This record gives sequence, structure tokens and C-alpha cells, in this order.
Amino acid sequence: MDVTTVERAMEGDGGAFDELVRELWPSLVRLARGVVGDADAEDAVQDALVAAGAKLPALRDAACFAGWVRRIVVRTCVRQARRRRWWRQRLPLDDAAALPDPTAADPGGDLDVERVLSVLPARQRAVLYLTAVEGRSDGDIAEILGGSPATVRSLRRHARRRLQRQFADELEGGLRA
Amino acid sequence: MKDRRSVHTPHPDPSDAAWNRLVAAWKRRLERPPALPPQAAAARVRARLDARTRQPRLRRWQLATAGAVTAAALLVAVFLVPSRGPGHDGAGGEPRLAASAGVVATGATPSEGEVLLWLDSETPLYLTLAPPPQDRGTTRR
Repeated sequence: MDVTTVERAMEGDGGAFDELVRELWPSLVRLARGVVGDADAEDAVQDALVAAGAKLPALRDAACFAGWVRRIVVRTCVRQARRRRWWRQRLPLDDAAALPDPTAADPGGDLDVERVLSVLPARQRAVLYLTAVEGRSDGDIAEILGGSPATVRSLRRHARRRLQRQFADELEGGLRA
Repeated sequence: MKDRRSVHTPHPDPSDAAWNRLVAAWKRRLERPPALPPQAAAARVRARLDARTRQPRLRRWQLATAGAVTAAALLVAVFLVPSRGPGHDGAGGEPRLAASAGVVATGATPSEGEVLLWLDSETPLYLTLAPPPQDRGTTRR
């Protein structure tokens, strides 16, 4: 990421910010998919980028831009997922909305990853993603999510227990959908 | 830019083959490209940012107008509308009870030339009907 482009964007250059968005978009969507799933990821990234664009003049160090935006994306995803979960518990979806996503099948195998991960609260899923897929340390994850490394360890432990408990049979059979 | 990724990769329970399969499938799933191309995403974000920067000015203007209208309405209500006490016939006071009409006798039988009115359930009022005295004519001097 070009720091000069970030600095131009911080000074109000809309074209420079567009350039940053174009460059970061694929990786941010991947990150958001890891935290909230495919269905809501791109909307969440757009919301996060709008928030980031509005706060950009307040950014202190242009070199931190990528990490700063990623942190905003993760926190936006967690917040939106919590809100959706809250509404889903109070307003049950009809049968059609509860049907499985036809694109959810694993392209290289036969695991319904989304169905398995959808049982996790957003923060637990975010911790699993940042740990298992991105290979980040507990300290990094704590900084991204806001909290302590001990909280991160606790969230990861709970997430794994929940998956183990809920999908014990399928885990034995290789999590087949 | 400093790479914040750590060398430490705390993989939960490496002996768990099912977990490894899940993570591998998860990674494969994440490799798919976004539905929205980067150019279109940048245009959408730009449009929303522009709308957002315009919005606060409009919101302040709306708040100022709403505040002025409310203050004016309060002033009119406090100083210009005349106060209405309870004796007033308007909406400010308790509505007055209409004067009770006399109750025509139902149970007692008045004699001829009398009218019985019940002022309440226990108070009869007998009125005697009589022609006016002769010296009270309609002529005036």
C-alpha cells in the first residue's frame, strides 16, 4: 500500500481514496466473509469503508492505514452480526429464508462450512478466522477486536467447544453436509 | 508497512483432523472473488461518502427550523391564547350540568287543578293552577 496515496486521501483527495478502496476491496471482502459469511460481507465492508472515509482525516499515521481499515471492517462485521442475531431471535425467519444457501457448498470438497460456522457468535467466529485462517497472535486479535489476549483465548475455546458439541457426529464423519 | 502478522500460529488442537478439514474448506471458500468488482465498490463507497458529507448540513438546518417552530408555538400558547378558567364554557373547564328539569308526577295523583312535580325522589312540589285575579288585566296605565 502506497503511503503517499494514503496521505493524499487523508488530505481530502477523493480519487486517492477510491484508489485505496479498489486496492483493498478483495482482501477486505475476504476478511468480512470470514467473520460474517458470504451473504452480508460486501455490505459490511462498504459500511466500514464509508466510516473509514469519514474518519480518515483523523488518522494519525498513514502507514497504519491498512491495519486501521481492517480493524474497522472486523468491528463493523461483529456489530452487524450481533444486530442480525438479536433480530433473528425475536423475529423468526420464514421457511424460505431459512433454506440453505445454494452457493454454500465447498468448491473443493463437500463441507457446508457456512452452516457449521453460522452457529457461532460473531466474536467467536472472528477469533477463529483470525487465528486459523490468518494465523494471527492472540495479542493482534485482541487489538483488532478490542479486549485482552485472555479474552481471545476464552472466545476461541468456547467456539471450538460449541462446534465440537453441535457437530460431534459430523466431525467424526468429516463434517459432511 | 509493518506486517502485524505474528510468527506464532496458535492452531487449536493440531491432532484434530476434522478441524483441519474445516479450516481447509473455509480457506478454499474464502478464495472466491467478490461479487462486486473493485471499481464498482469504490464508486458506491464514494457516492455514500458524498451523501454523508452533505447530510450533516441538512440535518443542522432541519434541527434549527424545528427548534424555531417549537419555540414559536410555545410562545403563542403561553402568551397569546387567553386563559380559560373552570367557569368558562369553553374546553378549559368542567362542563356544567344542565339544570334538572322537573319530574312529572308518576306515583301520586294530584287533585284537579294541580300539577305535581318531583324535585327529587323524595320531594314533591304541587303547583295549583288558577286563573289570574280580575284586577290584574293586561291594561297598563
